[in-house]
Amino acid sequence: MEKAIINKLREIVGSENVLDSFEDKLLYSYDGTPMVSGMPEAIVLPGDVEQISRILKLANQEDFSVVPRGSGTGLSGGSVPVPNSIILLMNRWDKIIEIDTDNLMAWVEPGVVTAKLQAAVEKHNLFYPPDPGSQNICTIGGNVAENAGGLRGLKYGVTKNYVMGIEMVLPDGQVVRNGGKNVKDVAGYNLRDLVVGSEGTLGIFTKVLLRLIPKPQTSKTLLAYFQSMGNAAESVSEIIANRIIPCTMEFMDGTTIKCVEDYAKIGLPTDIQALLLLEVDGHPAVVEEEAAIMERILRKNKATAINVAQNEEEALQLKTARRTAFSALARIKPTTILEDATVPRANLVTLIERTAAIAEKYNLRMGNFGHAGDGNMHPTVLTDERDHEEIKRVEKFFNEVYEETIKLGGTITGEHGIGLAKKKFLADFIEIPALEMMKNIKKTLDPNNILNRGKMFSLSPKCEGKLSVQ
Amino acid sequence: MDNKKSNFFENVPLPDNEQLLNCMRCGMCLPVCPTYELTKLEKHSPRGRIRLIKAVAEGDLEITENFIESIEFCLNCQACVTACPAGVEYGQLVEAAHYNIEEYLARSGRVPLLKKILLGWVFQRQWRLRFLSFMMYLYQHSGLETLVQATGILKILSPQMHDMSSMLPELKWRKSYPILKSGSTTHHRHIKVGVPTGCVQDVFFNQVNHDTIDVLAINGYDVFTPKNQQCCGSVHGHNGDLEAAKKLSRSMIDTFLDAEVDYIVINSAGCGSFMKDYGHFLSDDPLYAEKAARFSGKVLDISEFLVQVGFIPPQKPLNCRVTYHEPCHLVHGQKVKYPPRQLLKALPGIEFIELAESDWCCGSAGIYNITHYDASMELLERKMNNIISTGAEYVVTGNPGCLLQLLYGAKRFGCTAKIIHPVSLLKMSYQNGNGQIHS
Repeated sequence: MEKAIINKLREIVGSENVLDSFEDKLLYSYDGTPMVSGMPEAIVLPGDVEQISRILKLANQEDFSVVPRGSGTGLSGGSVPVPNSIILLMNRWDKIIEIDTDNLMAWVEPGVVTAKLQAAVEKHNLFYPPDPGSQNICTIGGNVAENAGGLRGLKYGVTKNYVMGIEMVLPDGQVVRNGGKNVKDVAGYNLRDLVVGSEGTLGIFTKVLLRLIPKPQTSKTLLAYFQSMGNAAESVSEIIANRIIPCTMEFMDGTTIKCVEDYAKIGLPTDIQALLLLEVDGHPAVVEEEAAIMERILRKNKATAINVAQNEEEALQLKTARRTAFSALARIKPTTILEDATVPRANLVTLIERTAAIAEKYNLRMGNFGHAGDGNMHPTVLTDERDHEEIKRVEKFFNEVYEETIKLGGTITGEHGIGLAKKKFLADFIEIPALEMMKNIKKTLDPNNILNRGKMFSLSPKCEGKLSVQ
Repeated sequence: MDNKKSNFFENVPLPDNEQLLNCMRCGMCLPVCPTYELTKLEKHSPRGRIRLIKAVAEGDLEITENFIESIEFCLNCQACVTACPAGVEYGQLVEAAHYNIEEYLARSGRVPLLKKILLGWVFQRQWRLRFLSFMMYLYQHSGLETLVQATGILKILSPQMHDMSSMLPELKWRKSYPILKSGSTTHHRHIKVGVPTGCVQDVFFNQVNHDTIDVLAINGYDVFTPKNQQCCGSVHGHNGDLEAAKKLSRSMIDTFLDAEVDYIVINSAGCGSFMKDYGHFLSDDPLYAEKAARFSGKVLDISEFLVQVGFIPPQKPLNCRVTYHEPCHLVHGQKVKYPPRQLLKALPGIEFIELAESDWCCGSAGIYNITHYDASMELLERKMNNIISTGAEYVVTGNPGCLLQLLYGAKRFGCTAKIIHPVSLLKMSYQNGNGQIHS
């Protein structure tokens, strides 16, 4: 990038808000995605909406790409720089503007950390349910851009179910507001829904209006062990067939259980093949009744042991196993690749079994855990990026897992997004007219392709091959 | 790629660059990092520092001003180590970086004077620190301090010196320790405990050492407190002077192993954290590797020791509200979280209030409050506000650095709570109204 362009950026945001040392470029060359990186030309910290607008206009004039970034915890490379790009760093936009306790909504800036919003609304006895694994640091802007999920998806939905309104800067620099506090609002296209999950390709969010719900009064946690994944899956189906929707239905496979026990020594039996962590919440009477029914169903489906937490402290203990799953797996090998294939719930057990077989076929170490109620699994491959031969097998493994996923009516990503990491799978997964429609929307809103260029899909052949996916 | 490799990890006690690869860049360390919270910049986050260290280690980056700034702004509080899902030993990486920076600065003749004096002279010999403290004692008690403060002359000559001088608590006349104090005959346990008296603790909190010795003896332990102890080496180790740190640690090992103690009980979290690591630190020293591991195996923090090996519940109700600030080198460095709380909750008449962000660094961090005064004060203000909102009469913490910082914080931010070491509070509860021990 020419020095003159960097200087123009400095004029817009002030010198101290443009970082372009080699070290700084290196520091924003990655996000949480394994094996994907690229150097930006500069990192720009905008101070207000007007500045963002001017930056985007400059990008159109000078033909560089703008990559928005919050905390950089994404798992699909959404905030990884592409060639000839700048990072637009939004993490200092971290004000909770308003918590409206009458309408049960909150206006926030995009850099607000998810867990901080949750803590702030809980003071008013309110609840913001989406809870991605990185909730302690990921930002609302990133959550909206990736349509982030979490553990409570089955009962409470995901980020898209909570976005009521949005203020954003379009690629041409115009500021657009859409949606608002009206629960019912059918005036025109739902532009806010269009940009939820747009992965930074359609606009830069500057304000988000989120729906809140009353905080559940109480909850109850159960942990059950099984000799087979099939029994665990049967339990899940039967619980839902009994019209109980738990807020948490998490599973872990035998490998993950062994790794957790090796690492955390919390007294898990290591001869079991599956574990289910279940939580129901809501009115105390209903919670008690539902917990009792779930216990009965678990027993009927040959759970070898069932622990029911009697208080908050015991509930936390039961949750330790699932909370520790990722950490326990992550420390076994240098490179940890976590994926998020998702199928309709009824097909999950088939997918889990096939995934285990494919891992065996390619002789890989893989632990599987995830959200049983959402049909969303996180096969986690433990490998070493220096071992090129093994990495090739890892690629083949994931290719086959996604083939199976698609055969079972599933999706290639439940909650991480496409970004750079799954770009090559998208064309195989989405029907051509739908893909063309997506590309046309992008071309209409961003004719010069300046926003997060080359993420999700490539627009024209000239973009192909320019991406620095390593 | 391989021919670009630098010798970053040579001479540094680190297994290999596995530690760097283990970082998945997931970002879980960001929200617990005080310097990231202050700046929101990747270069002041553990994840970012690891990326830079990786670049230097792999020869992609020279040691630059930006690199030095990033590493030196780190408090080394190790909150990130507790948060890291992949178990990256960040503390070791940063110490390796400090070592390389010191080498680089030494080569270019740029070691800051203050650091040179502190590490190279003062902390090398305990008598020098004591001599310095004697001069400060004279300064405080001769009326000179009052004069200097009244005229504000120091503020004009050197604002940094002014802040530093007001950071110091009032020094008491230092009392020497009994070399051997036998355990109380009523509960004699036939266990010999060695007490390192530290360098900073000895000078500023001489009374805490006496309280430690007394509490151990009350509980029936025979207490060995050798004379002529030096610094344990942690101050040097954390600041990249590894040779001095090794020399000092060998001297500590000889002193205590020769005396055949069963345990080495330490009341300073920073020293404890370092001494527990001697085994690893000296693992490639043919003469000391085995001894160092044996020494480290005996080291326990005073709270950990009393809870694990046993203490007599004290009787005198203290009737006060107490909160607890966790020293980084205890909670993150040694993973000792519950024993100090268990000890406090065992005291009769205590209302224990949990401190918000109790495991956040107070900004003391070795000599950080001198080298990065402004950032340190921001963290201290946050800490004092949390303390004030508990309404506690006593703030308990088991590390001299934290004690110094919180004493200064109380003065500066108008907090009336007394800042006290847990062992001193424990001793109060063992004494009756006449100061006599009852049990």
